[in-house]
This record gives sequence, C-alpha cells and structure tokens, in this order.
Amino acid sequence: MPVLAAYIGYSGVSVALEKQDGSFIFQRFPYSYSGELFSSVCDENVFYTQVLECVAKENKMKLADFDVLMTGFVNFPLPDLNIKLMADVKDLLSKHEENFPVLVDESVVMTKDLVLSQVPINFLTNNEFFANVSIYPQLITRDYNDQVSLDGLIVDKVKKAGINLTSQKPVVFTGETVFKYSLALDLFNNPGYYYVKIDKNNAILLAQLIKEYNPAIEVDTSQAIENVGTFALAPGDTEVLISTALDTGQFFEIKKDSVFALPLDNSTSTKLSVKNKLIGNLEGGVVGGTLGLLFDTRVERTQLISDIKIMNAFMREIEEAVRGI
Amino acid sequence: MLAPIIRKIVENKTVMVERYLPNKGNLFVQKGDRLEPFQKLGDCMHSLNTVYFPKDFEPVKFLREKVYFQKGNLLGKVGAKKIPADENGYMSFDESTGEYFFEEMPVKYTLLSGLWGEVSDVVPESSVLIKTTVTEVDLVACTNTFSFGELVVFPNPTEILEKFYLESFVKTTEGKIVYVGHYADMDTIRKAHDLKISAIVAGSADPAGFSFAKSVNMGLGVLSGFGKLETPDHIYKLFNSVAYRHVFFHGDLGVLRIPMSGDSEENTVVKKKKAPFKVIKKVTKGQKVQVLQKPHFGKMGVIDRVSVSSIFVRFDNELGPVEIDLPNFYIIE
Repeated sequence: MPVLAAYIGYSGVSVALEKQDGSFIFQRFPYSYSGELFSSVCDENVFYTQVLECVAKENKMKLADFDVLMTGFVNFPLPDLNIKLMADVKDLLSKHEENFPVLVDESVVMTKDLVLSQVPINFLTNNEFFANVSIYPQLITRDYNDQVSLDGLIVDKVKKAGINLTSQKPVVFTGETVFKYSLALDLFNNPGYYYVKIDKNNAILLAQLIKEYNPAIEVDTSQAIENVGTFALAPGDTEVLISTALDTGQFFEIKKDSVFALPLDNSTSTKLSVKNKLIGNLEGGVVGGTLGLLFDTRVERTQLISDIKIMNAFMREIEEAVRGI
Repeated sequence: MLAPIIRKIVENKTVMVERYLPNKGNLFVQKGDRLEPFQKLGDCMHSLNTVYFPKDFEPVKFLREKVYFQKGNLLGKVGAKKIPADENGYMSFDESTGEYFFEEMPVKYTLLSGLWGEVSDVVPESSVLIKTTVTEVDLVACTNTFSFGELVVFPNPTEILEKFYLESFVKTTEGKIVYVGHYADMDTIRKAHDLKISAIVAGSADPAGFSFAKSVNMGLGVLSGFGKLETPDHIYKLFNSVAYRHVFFHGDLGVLRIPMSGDSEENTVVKKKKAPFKVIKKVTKGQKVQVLQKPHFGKMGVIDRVSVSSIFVRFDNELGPVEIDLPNFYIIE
C-alpha cells in the first residue's frame, strides 16, 4: 500500500504522498485547526481527516488507499484516520543524520539537542496583528513592522536562551514559519561557515517518518528542499579570496557591518579563504545555492530586518545574487 | 487550491439549556412539558443585592444572628466612614469568612423559560433542563464567561454614536447582552462595565479593551478579530431580526446562542441543515470569502479569479479585484 505521511504544525499541515510510480509529492495545506473558528462545527479529528481526504482527492487518489503516517504537535485523538505510525518530532529530528535540522515555528524552536519552548507566544498583547494571529494562526503579513515584530520574537527567544547554532553539517530550517533568508541569518551567532537549506514542506521530517515506517522506501527530498547557499559570518573588516579549479581566484574586501552576497551555484566546490581581525584566518571549501555565498560582517548581531539601511542593502544583494546565478 | 470554510452562523442546533433558581424554591413544570419564552418555570425568594464588608468593618452592635435594618439606618463604620443601609434588609455574620454582610430584603424571583423547547429533566426545587433549538453565532474571540439576557442591538454606529447609545440605554442595559456595533474601543468597554451590562458583542475590539474585560470578568465577544473591523452583514441582519430576544453568551464555547421559535419560517432551515459539515473546500471563482489581509482585513468579498498561490477578490466598494495571498482568507458559508 502506498504511504501518506503528514506533519501537523502550528499553522498548517505538510503532506508527503506516494504516487503509483513510487515517487513522492510534497504539499502544504497552510491552515491549521483553530478552536475559535471551528469548535462549533467540528473537532480536530474531523478537520484533519477532511484535510487529508481533500489533499488525496486533489491528487486523484483516495485517503483509504494509503497507509497514513503522522507526526507533529498532536495532542488530540485522531480516531478517523487509522494511523499506522505516529512518531514524535524530536525523535525524528534526532534520527536524521545527513543534515542538522532546526525546526522553527511560533510556538517552538527545536533541534536534535534541545527543545526551546513548547509554550505558544502570548499573542494577546496590544499589538493587533499578534492578537489576530492568536485567532488565525496561519496569517502571513505584508506589513513590514509586523514582520519585524514576529521574527523578533523568534530571534529573541533563541538569543535569550543563549543558543548558538553550530554544525559541520548543512543546517536545514524546517517547521511552519514562513522562512526568510534574513531570519535564517539572524539565528546564527558564532563566526564560521554554515551551509543553509530551507525546507518549507517539512520534507526532512516526513522522509524520516517514512523511513521509520519502512526503511526500504526511498524518498527523494531534493526537489522539496531549497539549497540556499553558504553563510559566512565574519564580524568586522574582512578580506576574502575565493578560487575554483577552473579560475585563478578572486580577491576582495568587505567592510564591517555589511552583508554581501556572491552568486555561486551548488554544482562546484569553491575554495574560500577569509582573513578577519576578530576570528583570524578561515579556510575551507564551500558550495553555493539560491543565494550563493553570503558574507555577514556585522559586529553587533541585532535583528537584520529591524535595520532598514542594512536590510535594503541585503535585499539588493539577494536580488543581484539570484540574478547572477 | 484548498481552504477551510468558516460558518459564522450555525443554524438549528439542538442543545440542552439549564435554567435554575438562585435559591431553593418552587418549580411549576414537569418532564415532557412544551415551553414558550414567557412561560414561568418557577419562583423563589431572593435578595437582589448582597454586600460583604471588609474585615475592619465595625458593626453598630456585636451580632451573630440576622438583624433587620431599615433603609438609612446606620449599619456600622469602616474607619471613620459611616455605612448606612441602602435598602431595607438584614445584616449577618458569615462564620466561614469572618465577615459581616448585608442582604437586601428578599423579594419574589420568577424564573421564565426564555426559550422555546421541551423540559428534558427537573431537579426538584432547583433547576430545569430544557431541550431546545438555537442558532449559534461564532465569536472568534471572547472572554471566558457565561451570561444570559435580553439582546439589545445598536445600529452599526460611529464611536461617538456608540457612547450616545450606551448613555441613552443607561437605565435599561443592566444585565443585558448588547451588540455595540462594528468596533468596541476601550471607552465603550469600560462604560459597558460601569453600566453592569452582562456581555457585549462587537465586530471587533481593541486588544487592550479585551484584556480589561477579561480582568474584570465581563463578557466580551468579537465577530471578526482585533482592530477596527466590520461586523459581517449577514450577522448584523440576524441580530436585528432577533433583537430583544433572550440570548445566551457562552464564552467557554465561543458562541452566542439565540433560541429559535421552531415556527414554520425558522423550521424550514432545520430540514436543510442535517448533513454533516464540510470544513475544507476547493477554492473556486464566485465563492464568498472573508479576507485577513490589510487594508481589507475582516472584509467580505467574492472571488473573481484564482491563481497559483493567491486569489483575486472583488469587494462591494472597490473598482477592481484585489490580490489576497493564500492563506490570508477563509471561505464563508
């Protein structure tokens, strides 16, 4: 029987659905159950059963034809779903070897080593946007100030807890937050190189869940996960030399307190040497991605999005980097 | 593209409502009786007001038994302040709390049914359980209180008018449930609390006002969200059609329950609404949606076209359709 793996998060449901040829479709339904809105007509069981039925139907299949696997923050019974395997999010993150997954949403930040908070942010403040998010958890905003506040809550939570994300493996941001490059950059504190990926469909968790159920099933997540590129955190004035096997190298200087993106795809490895007063010399091979190679020379690591000047420069760099690739 | 359906109004829901006497008394109905809203269920003797005095209250004389005082007579002192009796009544000493209290002369309290239905059970001398049909209005945010009373519906006024209406109803709003219009600001909520209104309902509310209502345990329910948002038109029409009816504010369930008569007009809908609710639907052109994106937050519109990750919505007063991102909307039925 084909499998349908689902992750129920704070603001949506991610699904991996096995097709007849054995490949997988990753989809996200960007709404979650809200007691304020639905409690008078249905409970979580009815809501999520209908979500999965509709997702299967959209793909011209029936839910009854699948083995249903489930993970996420599920603290309610789902008797109508006939779940074959229910797995804990933390366990799935811990068992994933290839990358270093970091799950981020409005109620929790979680890695294989820590669970930062299970308590939802108290949205009922004087801020109208937050108050509305407590009713409509899936809301995304186009308002810059609201976005600064929302990202700020996550960044503050991570920094106040004194957490330093460091890993030799690629860092994959997953979860329900609408992830932005600026937020990913803000979550790093320690100088160094980090290869960053963004997983908007929670494909890492779903693939691991499927692997737990049947190790023989191969799940290709390469199309569902975005390879963002390498983030180089070098506080202060920085000199950089990059070279590939094909060229003679390129040397340039980056002033302190700026962000700079260099277009670089992920097909070839590039040798990178960085000279920086604070961190000394760093050398290593890096690969690019959607953003290429991103240098961050800020000394004070305040929230990037809250500084309009540096954020504008960052946006320009991103645009040019993406165009360059 | 899929999206959830919100039903702001759930019609013809069969529920159980308990009506109870404040003290032990007489009940006049039996299991199986059919009820009308103005039918008497029972009566008892009940003091409308009981006041507990602080620990430093010094009575005019030491007493451990109930003593009768006439209106205006001196009850005692708190510090230098003299406390007279506001009404005729009895002063007693509560052994459990160690406090003196004054209760107004008990009067006859009559319990009315307040709704149409059938008596499902009776607890002798105390309460009646009634099986009834209600229309439920979903409150997207509300304080966790329960109250019931007559529904007073204000027009959808400006803020100045809101206060004017509250002032005008000053003698009659106590214990009632008042729909105050599109937006309940802090002043309106405070005023409603001062007037002893048991609950207010509005299209939207000031988040700080909401916190205030929560802190004073006052009923406050909003229909669309926080900020200056409008009340959906169909809900306002429903409120208007049932104004002055006895309604139930269930903060714990997030609904306002309006008892329905079960007459022929209201019964027609009963037969239609028996199928199980569908909560997820494919998004298509022509569907009615509630938009949750500035500057149209809370407004209702109709889908003009659907693109990959957004929809284009036409509003009544807009020239052209407006792009709204998925998931900043709900389908409304």
